[in-house]
Amino acid sequence: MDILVVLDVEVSSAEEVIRYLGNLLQERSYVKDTFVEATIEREKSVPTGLELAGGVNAALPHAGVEHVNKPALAVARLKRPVTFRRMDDPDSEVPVRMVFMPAIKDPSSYIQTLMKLVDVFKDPQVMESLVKARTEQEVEQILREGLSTREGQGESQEGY
Amino acid sequence: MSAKPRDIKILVACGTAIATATVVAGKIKQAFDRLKIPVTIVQCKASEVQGKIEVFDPDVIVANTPVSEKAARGKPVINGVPFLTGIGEKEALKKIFEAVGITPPADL
Repeated sequence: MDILVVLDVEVSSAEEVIRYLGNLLQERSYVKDTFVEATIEREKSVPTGLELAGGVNAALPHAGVEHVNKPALAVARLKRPVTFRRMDDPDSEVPVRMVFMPAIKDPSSYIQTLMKLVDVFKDPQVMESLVKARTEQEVEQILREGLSTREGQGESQEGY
Repeated sequence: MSAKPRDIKILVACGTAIATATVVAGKIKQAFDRLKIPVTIVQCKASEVQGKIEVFDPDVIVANTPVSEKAARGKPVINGVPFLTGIGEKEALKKIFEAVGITPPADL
């Protein structure tokens, strides 16, 4: 799957980084021109900020399959964290440094990727290595390793 | 040892039911599979919970986004976000096992 990485993006809000990554996906035809607005709207009603164990927090803004042409994962590392509302408590906020925007076309084939992405979230050392990586290629490589070899591989996933 | 399980049903709810609910459902399924306990997991949008309860009648609702007590209709609601962050994941799993009437295994 295609992974698009941008490092040290300077934005001042969650909406701004959603637009940034969404436009990146749209320019490359991964998503339709409705994707950005749909993602912003979804984030308002059901936010995706996640507070993680190591203190490098993540957000997972996304939109429905109808706004997607082909699967991809767009990743932004922010120069300074921006505030996302928390998924489990939309009334509170969390400063987010790593933003992962999945373009999901077929949830059943994307699920392995998402489950392994979550394993990346759960590993403070991997999150730290994403923050310390010096190039886009390095980030992509860390993610590709995480998405291919981490726990969960080989276990039965029928029905998901 | 746990008692012989009956038909366990879990409803997993999130915003769009395409991404995070799928991940949480997968993680719960893994945990039950590991213990060889059969489980039926259905996903839905948070806004569909009330309707899904009527047709699916789950033992427990695992929700990544808050679900009101009214929508849950007296069913226990457990926060699913620990399955995405790892923070409190074992505790969440333990709560799910308890909610479906299974003694949580010691080596969870």
